[in-house]
Amino acid sequence: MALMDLVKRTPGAVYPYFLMRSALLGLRAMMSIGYASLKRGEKPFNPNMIKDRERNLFKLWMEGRPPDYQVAVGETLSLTVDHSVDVFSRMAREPEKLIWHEDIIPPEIIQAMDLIPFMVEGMAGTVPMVAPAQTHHLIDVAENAGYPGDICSLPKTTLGMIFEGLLPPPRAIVCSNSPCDGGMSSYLPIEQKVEVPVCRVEFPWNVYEPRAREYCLKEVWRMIRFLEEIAGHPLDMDRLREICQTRNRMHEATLELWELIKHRPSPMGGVLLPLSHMAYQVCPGTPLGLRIIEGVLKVARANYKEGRGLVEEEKHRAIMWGAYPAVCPDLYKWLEDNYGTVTVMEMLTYNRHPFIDTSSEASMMRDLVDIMAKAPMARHTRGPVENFLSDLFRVYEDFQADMVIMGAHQSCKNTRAVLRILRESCRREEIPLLIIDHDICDARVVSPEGIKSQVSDFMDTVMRDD
Amino acid sequence: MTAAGEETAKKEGLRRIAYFCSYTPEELLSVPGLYGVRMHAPNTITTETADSYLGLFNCSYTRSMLEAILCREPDWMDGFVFTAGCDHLRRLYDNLLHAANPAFCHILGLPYKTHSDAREWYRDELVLLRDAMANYFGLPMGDEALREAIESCNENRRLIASLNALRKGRNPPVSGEDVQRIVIASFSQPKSVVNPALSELLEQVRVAEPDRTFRARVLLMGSQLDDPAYIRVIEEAGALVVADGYCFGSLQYEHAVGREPDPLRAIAARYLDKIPCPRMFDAYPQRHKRIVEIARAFGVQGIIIQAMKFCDCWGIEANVFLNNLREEGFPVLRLEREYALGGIGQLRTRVQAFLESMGC
Repeated sequence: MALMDLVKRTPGAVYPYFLMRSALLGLRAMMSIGYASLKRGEKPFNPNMIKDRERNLFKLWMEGRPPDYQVAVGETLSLTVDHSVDVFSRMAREPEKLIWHEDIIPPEIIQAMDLIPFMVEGMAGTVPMVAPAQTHHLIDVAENAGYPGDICSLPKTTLGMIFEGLLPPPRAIVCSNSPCDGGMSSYLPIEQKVEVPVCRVEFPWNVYEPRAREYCLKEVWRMIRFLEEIAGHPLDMDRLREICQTRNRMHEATLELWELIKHRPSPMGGVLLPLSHMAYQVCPGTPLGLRIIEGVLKVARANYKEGRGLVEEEKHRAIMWGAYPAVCPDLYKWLEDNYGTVTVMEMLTYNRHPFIDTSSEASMMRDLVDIMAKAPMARHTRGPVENFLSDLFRVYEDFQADMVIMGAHQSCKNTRAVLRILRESCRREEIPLLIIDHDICDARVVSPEGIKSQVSDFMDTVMRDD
Repeated sequence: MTAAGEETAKKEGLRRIAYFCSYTPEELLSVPGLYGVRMHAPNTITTETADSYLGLFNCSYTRSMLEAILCREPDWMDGFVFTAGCDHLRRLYDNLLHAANPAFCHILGLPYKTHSDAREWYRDELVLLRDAMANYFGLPMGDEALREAIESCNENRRLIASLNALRKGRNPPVSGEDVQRIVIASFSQPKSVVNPALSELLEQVRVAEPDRTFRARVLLMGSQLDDPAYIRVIEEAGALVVADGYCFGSLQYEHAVGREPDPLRAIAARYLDKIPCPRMFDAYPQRHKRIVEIARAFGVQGIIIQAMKFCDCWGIEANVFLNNLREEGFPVLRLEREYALGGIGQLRTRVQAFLESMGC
């Protein structure tokens, strides 16, 4: 019997198992990174910065859930975190291969060049979930360096981490003009701070324009030439094909998962949506990424087969649109526990795109570039407002939702500017809409309790069960 | 000049097109039968209506523009041309369409880079705009009409540049406030009215010897600024604005359209070669170089950077400029402001303190 089966069958064993696993792997990573860094005479990065937080999240998301679900949370989170820690280990061993990439630039091409991709915003986006005080400090660091208070807190947290020297310095940076001006502009001070070559990839305003694909393709080829110069060798197309093929398998599993979620009661949803989707951001097209998605799918399949929903009595099905408030990591679980409300889809997780046609180099590049240009958030915040709304209405219908929560991140100028259009459109379509004021990274703006209070008011009035 | 321009436009039946960004190809809005008005409304004090559409975190320029448009009669302008310049402008376009649905409202997909593919992209965008305008307004917009428009716009730029050059002198005949008024008039009226008036004005001021005292010569740069009263406060405090680097200033009027056979290609090149706005995300070195060149050419003693609150591009870049310009030995004052003039006392104090810190 596999160890995991034994753990699942032992009451109360899942949480301690993942705690112990996390601690042991943290120790191993600390030794590996410490050895490599000290050998180079550098200060080692402490992987327990991440591992400690992982343990907090295990507790937050597993408590009170059935063992299968706990295992899915445990595996998804630990595999993602372990991958990040492995990346840090690789960074310590091969710093000359480290490439920082902005969140809209997916890492497949960087991986295929045997370089080490590291998404800087990814780190900044997860710190607020578990270490609000540290996030506040990082935001203050950026503001004290002269960056305005009204700039989005995600790039400010990122700037804070870089100014504090918390991240290993890269060999080069690739970034883009998507999804917003704040993120785009933040790469100028980053470039000046780390003093490495930067490649900026441009996506046209409306990526659905027929001319846009060709333009984006040329831009991505410029990025490839830039990376080839850094790597000292050409892009390995065979390696990229393998990555794309595995990514297709991930996508196939994701589509099946979405199909299952569309059923009532939903056999999956909530925090496992964004958690499993992180695989696309940190390890797409890898066996690990596939394992993460398939792990969640397995639980969803089993639940569906037994007619079991994510919650015992599913009362409502919510779509989370806009930016999820990272400062309130238990929001989905809290909605499930207190209101029988399952979050069945999110804007950032709804990464719909065709499969990558790997039959030729041209078709593969074309489809990869489409994935970049039309990534969630990027396609929503660019182009006319229809791009933001049409996906929402499609998802609302397809996933049989009965309410929408719009995460109105305070310094997201782009989405806050369309709230009235959103409100009037939802009213016309008779969709109950809650707009929550929050700041994704800064809990001082609206506390987790303040966020929940806004949701409570809505659930107790608009969505009440009379 | 403003009243005369409006009267002439009315008499000649010219239709006016509002635009918002220095990357809008003014030439296409200046073909015979049309003229462009660069939107400005510094007297907009409250933005109650606009705030119900745009968010409070959107810049007060876009909120003021929406307010100014929604509070007027629907036929106040004959059309609107936007660029996808920044997040705020793009959403202003969406909200204007949603709230007022103007009969002619077009947005240009402005590239973020200036390489040859970007130039071709922008040229294609100009073709789309030209065709949409020709179709809607029923005006000839062929090469000949465009060349005529290029000539009048280039002449306007040449005249403003001549006026601007007078500011290099030890005792400039025009103040920063004067120049701002002239620039606003130049980009709000038909060129057929503005250009002769500017020529005449230029002759007059060339020989003027103003009785003016000031403590220092400064360059004023940063985000959208179209309020001469803001510059007046700075100048009253003793800082004479002798040069500028903002988008309703030199970013709008520097650099002429070339004489390429294809007028649209020439126009596209001009807009991508002008002093770049911070939204051109790989052009900081050029932007910085040009600002330093202007500062040296006009003998400025200090630089004032003003960034409109909630403008991400300038909000971040102002700080980078502040650090880099200081490293190069320029005294720099950084100000944050809203679109409508406010906090005059504080502004005056900041400028006075800046001048004192410079030893002026």
